[in-house]
Amino acid sequence: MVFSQYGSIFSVILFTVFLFPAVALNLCGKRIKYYGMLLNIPMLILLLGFHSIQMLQFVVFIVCEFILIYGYFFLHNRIRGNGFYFFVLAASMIPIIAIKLCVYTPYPFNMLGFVGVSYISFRIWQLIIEIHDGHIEKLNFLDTFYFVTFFPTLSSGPIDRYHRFLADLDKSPAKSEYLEDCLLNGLGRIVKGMVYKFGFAFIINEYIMLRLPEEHTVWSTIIYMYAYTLYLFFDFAGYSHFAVGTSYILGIKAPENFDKPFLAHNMKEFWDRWHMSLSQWFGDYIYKRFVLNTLRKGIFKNRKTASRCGNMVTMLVMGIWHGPYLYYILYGLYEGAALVVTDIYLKSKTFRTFKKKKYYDILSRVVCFHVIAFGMLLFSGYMFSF
Amino acid sequence: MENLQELALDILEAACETDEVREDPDLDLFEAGLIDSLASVVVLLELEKRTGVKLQPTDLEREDITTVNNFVKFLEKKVG
Repeated sequence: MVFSQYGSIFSVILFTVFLFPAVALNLCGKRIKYYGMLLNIPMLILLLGFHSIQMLQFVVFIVCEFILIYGYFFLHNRIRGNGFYFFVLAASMIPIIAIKLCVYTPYPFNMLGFVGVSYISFRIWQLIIEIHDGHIEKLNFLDTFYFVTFFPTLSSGPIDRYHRFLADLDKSPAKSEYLEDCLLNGLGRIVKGMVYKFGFAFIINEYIMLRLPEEHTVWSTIIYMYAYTLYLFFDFAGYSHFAVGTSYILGIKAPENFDKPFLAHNMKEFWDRWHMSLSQWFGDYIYKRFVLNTLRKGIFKNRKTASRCGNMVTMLVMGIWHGPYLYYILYGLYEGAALVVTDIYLKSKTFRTFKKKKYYDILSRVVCFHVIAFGMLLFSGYMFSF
Repeated sequence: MENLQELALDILEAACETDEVREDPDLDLFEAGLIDSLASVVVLLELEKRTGVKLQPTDLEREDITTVNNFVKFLEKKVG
């Protein structure tokens, strides 16, 4: 039997029960690290199945990617130039590209893929880039394997950072610190996740979205836009509460994914509050590198132009990463354009005067929410399914 | 030390495009809306231009440029 991660109250409770030995270990003054590593194996089996095609793909994928990572780790200092680096990066991307594109192939090839492949890939690419940058001097196999396949955040993140993860892994917090910071906080997060996902998200889906007429009208589209935006937030923020809470109890303070996103005043602020671990990943590994390299090489003379092109490229990649569909490409272009317009707006005189007005807070939040909601409507594909 | 302080201020002033960074060395530049991710890239470019130290975006953490004082500490490690 395969479980969808945090997909039902039963699976959340089951996953939480397996954390009790970790609590006991800490309270006895022992390290949680090795219990977590051991627990990871049955948990992966619960999520992927044992004799399943998913598990087979997972094993082949992990073995190949680890050969790449270790091959690159041992050889990168001996081979000059960036050719080898780009080759390794490209090779590590083959599985995810194949999995995303297989939707256009006939059965059974279109069944390719397994839970968490996107998020595991983010961690793998991060390792390859960090090895290239000279940030990784030692690559302990067990630690790296645990980082890449860490079960609480397997299916949809948050995307942790290697050095941050290792630092937590080797920490052994004192009893009182663990009880308050990790256990109580973690359990609280899991309860919050229940309310978000099985309360709010469930109700919105059950009583609004599923009751809309089959035929799409302007009205049904508007209602769907609001409902889907709230649904996606509660569903994903709920999932993130489970993932972060579970990680905390295992002693890993996984990064946050949401910080009251609908209170954002503009789209730039929105991405600092929504799916933060992903937007920071894209910021560090795509946007900033694009801007840095294009300015370094003099491809752009003007930093604003470089930044705005960087916004478009980053958001387009983010859109396409969700899947090879037209509406994801449109979604990426829309979010990129929204960032460019926001950048122009934030640097304008209008903004400086507007910011001092009494109604600035409320008006900019209402407008920003609608820009967000329209993006979500594009993302949902609702307008493209008849 | 004083040189690094001046270097930090010069770089941040160029990156944030305002001399407001000189007013308070403990001012949170993100909260004040003076610095953003583009500015953090310009910090790297300016550092490279002035000292020849070539860094990657992940070398510079958010805390390193949150305040002028934090950035001075960062420079002490990387340049000093």
